[in-house]
Amino acid sequence: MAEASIPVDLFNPGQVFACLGLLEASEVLVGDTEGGFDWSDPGRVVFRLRAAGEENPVREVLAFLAEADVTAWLADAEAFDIARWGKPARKDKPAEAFSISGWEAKWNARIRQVPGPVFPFPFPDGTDVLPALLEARGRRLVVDHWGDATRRDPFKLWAGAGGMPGVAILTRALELVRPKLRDDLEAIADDPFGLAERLPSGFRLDWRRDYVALDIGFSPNDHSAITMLGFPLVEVLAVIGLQNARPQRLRHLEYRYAVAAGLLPPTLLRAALGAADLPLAMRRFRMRLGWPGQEGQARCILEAFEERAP
Amino acid sequence: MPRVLLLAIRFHDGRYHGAGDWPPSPFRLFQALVAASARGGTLRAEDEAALRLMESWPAPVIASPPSRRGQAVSLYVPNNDLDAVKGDLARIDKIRTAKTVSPWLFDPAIPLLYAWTPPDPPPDPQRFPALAERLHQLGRGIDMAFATAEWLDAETAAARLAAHPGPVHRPDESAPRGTLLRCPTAGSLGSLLARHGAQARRFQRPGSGKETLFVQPPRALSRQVPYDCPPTHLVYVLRHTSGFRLWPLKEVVALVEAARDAAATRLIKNGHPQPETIERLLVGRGAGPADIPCRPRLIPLPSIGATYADHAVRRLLLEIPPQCPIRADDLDWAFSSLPVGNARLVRAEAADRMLRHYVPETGARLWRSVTPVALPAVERRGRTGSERRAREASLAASLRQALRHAGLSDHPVAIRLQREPFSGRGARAEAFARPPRFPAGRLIHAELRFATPQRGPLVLGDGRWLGLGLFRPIREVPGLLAFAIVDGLAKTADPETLARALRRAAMARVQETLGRETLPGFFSGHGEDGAPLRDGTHRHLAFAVDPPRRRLLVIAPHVLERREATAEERAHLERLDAAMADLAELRAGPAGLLRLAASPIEEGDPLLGPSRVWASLTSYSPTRHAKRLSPAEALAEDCRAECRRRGWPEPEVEVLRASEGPRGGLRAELRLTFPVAREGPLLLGRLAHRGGGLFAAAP
Repeated sequence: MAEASIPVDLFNPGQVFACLGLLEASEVLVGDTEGGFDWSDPGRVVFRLRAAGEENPVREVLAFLAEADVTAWLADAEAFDIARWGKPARKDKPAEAFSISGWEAKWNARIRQVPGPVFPFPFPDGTDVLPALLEARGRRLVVDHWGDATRRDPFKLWAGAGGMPGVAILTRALELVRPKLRDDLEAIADDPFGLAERLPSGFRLDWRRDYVALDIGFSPNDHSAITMLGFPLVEVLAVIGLQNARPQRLRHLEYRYAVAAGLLPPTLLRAALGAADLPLAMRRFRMRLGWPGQEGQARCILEAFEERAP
Repeated sequence: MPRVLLLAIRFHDGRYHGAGDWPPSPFRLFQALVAASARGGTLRAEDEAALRLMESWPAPVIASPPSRRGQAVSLYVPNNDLDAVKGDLARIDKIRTAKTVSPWLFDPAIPLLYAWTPPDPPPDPQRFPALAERLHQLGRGIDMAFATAEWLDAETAAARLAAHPGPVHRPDESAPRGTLLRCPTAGSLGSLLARHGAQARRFQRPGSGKETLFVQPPRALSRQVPYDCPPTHLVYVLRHTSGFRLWPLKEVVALVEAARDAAATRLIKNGHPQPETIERLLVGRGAGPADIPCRPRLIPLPSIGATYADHAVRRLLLEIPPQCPIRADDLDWAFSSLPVGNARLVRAEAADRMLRHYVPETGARLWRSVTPVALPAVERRGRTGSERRAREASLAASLRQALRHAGLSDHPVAIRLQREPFSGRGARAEAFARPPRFPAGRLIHAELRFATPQRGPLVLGDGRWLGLGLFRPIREVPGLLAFAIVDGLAKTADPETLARALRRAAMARVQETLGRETLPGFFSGHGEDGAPLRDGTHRHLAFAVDPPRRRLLVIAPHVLERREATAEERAHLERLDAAMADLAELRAGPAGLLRLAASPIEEGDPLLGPSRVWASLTSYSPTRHAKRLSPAEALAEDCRAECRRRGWPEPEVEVLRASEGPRGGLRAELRLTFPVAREGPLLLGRLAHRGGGLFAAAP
């Protein structure tokens, strides 16, 4: 068994979700994975990850991401429905037929048509929630939580059906970090959440990038010369982490999440993230969301509080 | 030994614009202290050491001035994005964004108090008063404030908090619910310093290009602490095989003793780790004054509500205060399925309907006892009227003391005491006697009227741990709201200005409760089309001023018309009552900034009569001017016509004084003599809803 630990800010929910993403990815890619948080030193809180084999599991996951090929899945059997995805070029014009090649060219992403139904949720109104498949070395990770239409909150914070598809965000985020992961994997594996890049759009899961213009005093969006620094690995790993666990929704703009200490199997850490009442050493947090743009569209994480001191 | 650091913060203006929290959270105060102590961008070492100590202290007790939310206003402010429109100020509308401001309004003369009790005495205690002295702002930039701090012993600090006129907010870190306020925590100061430092490095310009990278500074670190935690209420039903077990009302003490002792025995016998605590807090053996806020309490709930409800006890309410060190689930386990007499206690599944008869959702002003209150012994019989009066005064004083012991800071404005029950199915006070502790002479039924609505359950007196002194709320339609002008009235104030200000305040407060719903004409006196309601029915509120007694009045139409309120009016009046409950300040323009206090109208008030003769308190304005008559005749005729329209007998009208305005408008002071005595209030004339035409009974 190999073990690794990385620094994490528990008050940044995106980083906590990303830790779970590392765990989920390691479970799929390496197997026999356990993980947990360690806050025994308040000055250096870490996430511990242990998995089968001799290789550092964090490095294994990052190496996979460096090579992963991202595609959106679309079933041939469901193709008849894609007509509804057509959009008019102008508001006063009729909708044009949806074209897969046009979509791929627009978002610089790829759609793979497969036989049989693939949607784990009702056929979506737009392409933003198409399931994404990450593939490399014959192994696969699926990300489709953003379309979850069950009773669970999908915790999709970025904008709606007219916005950028999740697959495209994922593709761009990985393209940004690939060169650095190839060149400097060892150093990045020590602190993957510190890797900052110019990130034009993300999943709004890391509050270090997202903002409400009134709070920061100006709107970077309106300044072409200003680029936001984002943390692509947090965003990518966080959406993987949300695949099997979600924070507990309290209100539309308020959620609770929790972390557990020790080395635990994925099932327990998933339950902990949803703030389940477990007989474990846990810390509970509450996060407040805001509207970065118009109310009712995208949300972003504003801040997180601990509910009770450890 | 001084143990409590008491910070008193006063605002320059009675407004607080901070977003999200009221009272201002301890973390916000901590931030303000950090900002105040900074010299430029740095903190002095001794200040930093003091603040690092402070961040790890337990959450403080807070006393805030009585306050209310002001109206929310959307201000359209420009983002700091002038570059985005190439510095063109004419295009500032392109970069404007809505910013909602909703201040808290309060009396700036009343300070905010924060009482911190550090676990250990700090090495440099005087550093904290010095830090407080430099505070200059709390909330947003416009919320200028100043602070003083002093070290007090626990008793003095408690007395200062008790004497504070506003609500006191107590933290309870272990409570499951309550109002969450941010408090500093270990690492808060470091996080604020890091944020301040990073704020200056938000913009980075790599290389020589024009591109600017923007990265947000890290967030400040705080924790959330529940304040004002409500007690846990668990209801148990007395059951036996064939249904409810009916426990006689007069035996409530026996019921509580039986259930309490059986539950305590069950807990102790099953190895509860705190047997002494169970004995002290649940049973009450050896409990001292300090234990009172921590004690769980059993309250038998007699069945009431319907006219024919028999007042037998079918339910027991277990009230567990948030400070109780015995776990609520342990207590629940102890009482669930507990045999009591020939019945068992069965936990009611949801919020029990009977509980609503004792715990009204919006509070109530009038309360009547269901089980008598046990008061300190007073000589029972007086031979003379004065002796009897003295005895009743003594009992009323004891009842006020009982209210204080129960933690109610509001004194009742009226108390009625009697041995008889207030409902036909109730029992006389003597029937509950259990000598030697509760002899018949100590028990009495009481009716309490408060100026402001009180929340239940209300349990008073020495027998409040044993089911005695339980009150029920009485729903009333508040047909007449009166506010005494305590201070701030300008000498030149005229009744119409005051009535207009009162109407405006009432409309604004009710509108606030309605949200975007249209304000009904009942409150505004205007129809849906915006035109005044002039159908002659007077089916809307009247706003009046009683100058001799310095009172402002809101009078419901059914009171003026001496009829029952309709269902719709009752709903409107309940909404009005809730909206006006905390009216303490009225901005009346040239008439002054008035400080108000609720002042219920009692029997014998000159506005209520009854009397045959009534005299003007505020000028009467005729509804129309019959030009063929002299002014005095016209006024008299108009007043008689007004009475006819209301269906009243015609009075003799004597014009005491009359004046004519520049455009011929008449005003007069009248004396009306009716053929028979009438009850008030009397409001007549064109300005009857707007401050004029009020009469009082004349001697």
